[in-house]
Amino acid sequence: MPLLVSSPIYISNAPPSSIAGEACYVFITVRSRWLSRPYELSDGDIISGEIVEVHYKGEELEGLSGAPASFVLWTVAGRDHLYVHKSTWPLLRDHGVIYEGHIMVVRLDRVIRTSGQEVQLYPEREIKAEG
Amino acid sequence: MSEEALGKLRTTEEHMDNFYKALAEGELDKAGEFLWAAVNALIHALALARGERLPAKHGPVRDFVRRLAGELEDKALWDAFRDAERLHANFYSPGIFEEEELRAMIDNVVYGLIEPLYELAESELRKG
Repeated sequence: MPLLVSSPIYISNAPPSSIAGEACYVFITVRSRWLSRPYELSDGDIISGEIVEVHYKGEELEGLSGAPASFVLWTVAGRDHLYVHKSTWPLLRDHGVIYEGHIMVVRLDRVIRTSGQEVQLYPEREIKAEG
Repeated sequence: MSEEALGKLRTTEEHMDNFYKALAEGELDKAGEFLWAAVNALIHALALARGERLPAKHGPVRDFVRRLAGELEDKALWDAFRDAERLHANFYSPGIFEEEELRAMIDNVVYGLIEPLYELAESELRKG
C-alpha cells in the first residue's frame, strides 16, 4: 500500500553535486507533503519501488511496467525532486526516456535513509499524488 | 509582516508550479522567466520575514541579495542571482544562450538561490 506518483520527467543539466555519484540528470517530482515531510526524509535518501507505466503522448512504452526503480531525493521549496538512480537509468535510457514529454507513474514503497535505516512508505494505505 | 511573508512564499510556489510545467514541456525560455518571478517573490518574502519591506523595483531586490550574500559570506548566492537576471534577459531576447547554458543556469538558480532562500525564509518565519 505505497505512494503512487504520476509525474512528467524533467531534464536538468546535472544533479546537485553531493548526489551526483548516485543520481543521473533526469528527475520526477512530488510535493514534499506527500513524501519527505511526513516521513522526515533528507536529501540523499534513496526512494525505491516499481514503475507502473511510462507514456509519451498518451501511448504507453512497452517493457517498463513492473520494473524496479530507485530515485535519489533532493528537496527544493516544498517539492521533492526524485532523481533517477544510476542503477535504474540504463533501463529508462534504453527505452528512450531521455527527453521531455514523458509521463512516469511509479509505485514507491520504501526508503533507505542515508543512515542506512529502511522505512516502509504508507504500509497501511495507498496514497496517490501528482508531481 | 509574517502573514505577508507567508503570502509571498505561496506566490513563490505558484510561480514554481508554472516553472515546472514549462520545464516539463522543454520550454526553457518560459521556464526561466517563471523562475525569475519565483526569485522575486521569494526575495520579497524573505525581506518581509526579516522585517524589511522592499519596494517593487529591481534595484532594491538586487541590493538586498548583494547584502545578504555579504552577510552570509556566500558569493554563490550572488552568482545564482546573476544567472536569474540572465534568464530574465533571455526571455525578452531569446537565443542569447545555448540550451545547455540555459539548463545550467536554471539548475544554478534552483539549487543555488531558490533552495537556500526558501529554507532561510521558512526558518525566519518559524522564529516569529
